[in-house]
Amino acid sequence: MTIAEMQAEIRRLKQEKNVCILAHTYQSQDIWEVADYVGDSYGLSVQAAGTDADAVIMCGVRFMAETCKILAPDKRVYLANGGAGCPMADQLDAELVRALKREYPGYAVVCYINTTAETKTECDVCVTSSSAQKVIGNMEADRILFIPDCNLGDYVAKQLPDKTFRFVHGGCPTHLRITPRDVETARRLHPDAEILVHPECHPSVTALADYVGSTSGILAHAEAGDRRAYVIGTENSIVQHLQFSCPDKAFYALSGDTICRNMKLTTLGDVLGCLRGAFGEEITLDEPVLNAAKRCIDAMLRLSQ
Amino acid sequence: MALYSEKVMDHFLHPRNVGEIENADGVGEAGNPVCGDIMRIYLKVSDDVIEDVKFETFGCGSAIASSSMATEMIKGKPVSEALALTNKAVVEALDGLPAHKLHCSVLAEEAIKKALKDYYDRHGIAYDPARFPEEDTCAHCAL
Repeated sequence: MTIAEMQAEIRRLKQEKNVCILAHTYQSQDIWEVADYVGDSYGLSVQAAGTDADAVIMCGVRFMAETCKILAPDKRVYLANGGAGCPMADQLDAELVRALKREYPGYAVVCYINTTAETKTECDVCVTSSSAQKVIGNMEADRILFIPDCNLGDYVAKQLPDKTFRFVHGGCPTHLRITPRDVETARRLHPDAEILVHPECHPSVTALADYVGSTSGILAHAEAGDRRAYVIGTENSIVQHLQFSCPDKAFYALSGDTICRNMKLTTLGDVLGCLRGAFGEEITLDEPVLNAAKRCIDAMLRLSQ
Repeated sequence: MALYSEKVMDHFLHPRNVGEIENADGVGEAGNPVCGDIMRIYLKVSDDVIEDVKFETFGCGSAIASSSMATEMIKGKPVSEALALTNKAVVEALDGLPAHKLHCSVLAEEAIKKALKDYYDRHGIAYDPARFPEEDTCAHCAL
């Protein structure tokens, strides 16, 4: 089968079976083209909550499919490739969060959406990189324990100087590969380009960037901007997506190393196999976990209004 | 039953030797995209003794505890003793790690060895290359 033939078969099957395909922005272009919705973690969670399809296929990583199941518990939710996890989401389990809560009494526990459903059961509210500032800004609590990404946490804390933040030493191994030297090199090679980075990067990198934002923020900024060239400091799939949406502009990767192997696991063939019932993993969650994690996600949706 | 020992929890909640050493005599980094842990160790060496050691780790609770304990174990010790540190010794000092987190102690040993190799290289000190691991040799991560 060619890419076009496979895409046509996917479109036919998803209509026949009333399946909604959600794809994270870090997925490949061929998957983007068959998705009903492409977005960052926040956008995907909003879509999951409102879908009227019978089943959802998540092209992304496990915590995204779990979030989808939590928000649409009556739907069958599948992770297109069951091997796709998120190293950061696995950094803190519920036992570690309980220990942190004992250590920091009186702190509201805010977790990044990149956490397992089990970890979310111990947290007050979750945030995404695009919603963090608004959600925490709208919270009554002024003492925040932010887990697990201390780099995103540091960036958010700088936007909310009236709140007190505590962190743990977690983070995204892909974004942490970008160094200040990469930014210096990009400035030298592309002096007229804007440098756009994700807030999961180390603070020494975000401090040097022209723009800091979520993947959807980076995409929108580069698409709307009037520069002829942009250097992209997030997962490198975004470079290619921008080349498709803005073929008259030049896009460069800030680092050759920012490739998330988990996001690369899902293929167009996985999506077709999932629709045919051959591949993919159906996500199931125990009801107490689902309900407790839902409180955490609902709080985000409410506070980001 | 608790997954983590009291010592792991203590070093996770109160990590020792966190930070960076400017003008370090040796820097070593270990990490693996599968595990998602990144460890960087900085050494200050004086008269063949580890005068100071700091670490920057972005990872899970076990990775932070392993880095913290490993730096405590080599601080103030002769370089030769630091070079002999094994991941097994780190695990024993932590009163054990969950089986699926043993690789965190391997990364701590690797990062220290890389920092020591960097110290030897920078100071023109001869060494046996066989004593130093290859890149990304964590057998657990390769599974």
